Amino acid sequence: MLRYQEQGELHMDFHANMNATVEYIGSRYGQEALRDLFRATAHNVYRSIYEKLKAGDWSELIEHWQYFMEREGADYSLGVKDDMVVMQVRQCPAVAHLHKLGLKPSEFFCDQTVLLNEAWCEGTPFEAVTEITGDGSCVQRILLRPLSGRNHEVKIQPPSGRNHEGKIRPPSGCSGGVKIQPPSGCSDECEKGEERSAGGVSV
Amino acid sequence: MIPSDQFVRFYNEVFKFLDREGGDALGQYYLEISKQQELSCLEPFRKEGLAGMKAYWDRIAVEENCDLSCDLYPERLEITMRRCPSLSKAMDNDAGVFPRYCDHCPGWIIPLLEKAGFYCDYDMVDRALPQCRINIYPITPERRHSRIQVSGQANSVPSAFVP
Repeated sequence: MLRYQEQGELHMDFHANMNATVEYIGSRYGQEALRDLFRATAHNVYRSIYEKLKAGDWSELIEHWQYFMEREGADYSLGVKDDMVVMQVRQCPAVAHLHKLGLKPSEFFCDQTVLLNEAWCEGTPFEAVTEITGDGSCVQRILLRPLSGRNHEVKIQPPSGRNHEGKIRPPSGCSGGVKIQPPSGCSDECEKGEERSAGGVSV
Repeated sequence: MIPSDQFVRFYNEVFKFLDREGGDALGQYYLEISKQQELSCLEPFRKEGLAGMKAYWDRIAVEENCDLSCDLYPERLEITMRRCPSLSKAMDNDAGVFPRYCDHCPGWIIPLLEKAGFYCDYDMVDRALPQCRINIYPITPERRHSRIQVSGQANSVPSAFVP
């Protein structure tokens, strides 16, 4: 159950305000200030997602990703395995909207994703690895840390929530396009990902 | 990606951060947002005046799911916000609302209006209620500066930003 689940119309121009904001904070106060801001956002605004992650339950994060990616019309796919959630974003709605407005994404723009994911995983059994694969494309992974990297053993909760037809597809960002950081091993893990159904969320 | 629906809760965290920085950090940030808003608003506000502003806020009312009326009179535009979704979301927020959350709105609107040749009387009503009233007028030789007030009694926290 999502803590925040807006409905109705969308004001996509807020992505332009986000772009201006991360540029302003990042250029004047530095990336550590952005890290602090996204940590506060991940731990406090999205408290219920964070508390669940600390308990080894990634279901609300998955539901959050799915709900808002679909609501904003993203081209994405999401897959869940026993030890990993992979979301491949082929066209980020935020970046697409900046382009529609004729705006250049700030060099800090994708920090909202990278730093938020990292903060969500702090002090949890998970690790976030976000790879920016192009202009408006990325692969976001939430990985279960090896036992030695965890403070305690956890049982991963099966994801629950809405039925979703998305399936793991080979990431298109792995070939072509502007590559900021080539996603390592993404095609391998996606192709090997066993597709099964658990609680209605794509796997 | 922080969803566009939830930008305002991040915004709320930015206000807390800049408030801790002290000085005029918040006011400077509002001016930066105002510059951002100029990209889409300044030209229509200058060219179309109050009618251009009405068109802007009518679109905002729909996109942001506001309960808002925007009434155009020959000499002024009156905006009545009965339910502000921005403050409502900032309040419906596990991180807690920044006490002067409402200040960002006059913080970006007033510099933009004055650059376009207008001023306003901005009544925040009460910083704990998602309601406000704005009356916008063309600048005249007699008056060119805007005024902000908080007419309600409950939350008379001094404004951090007075243009």
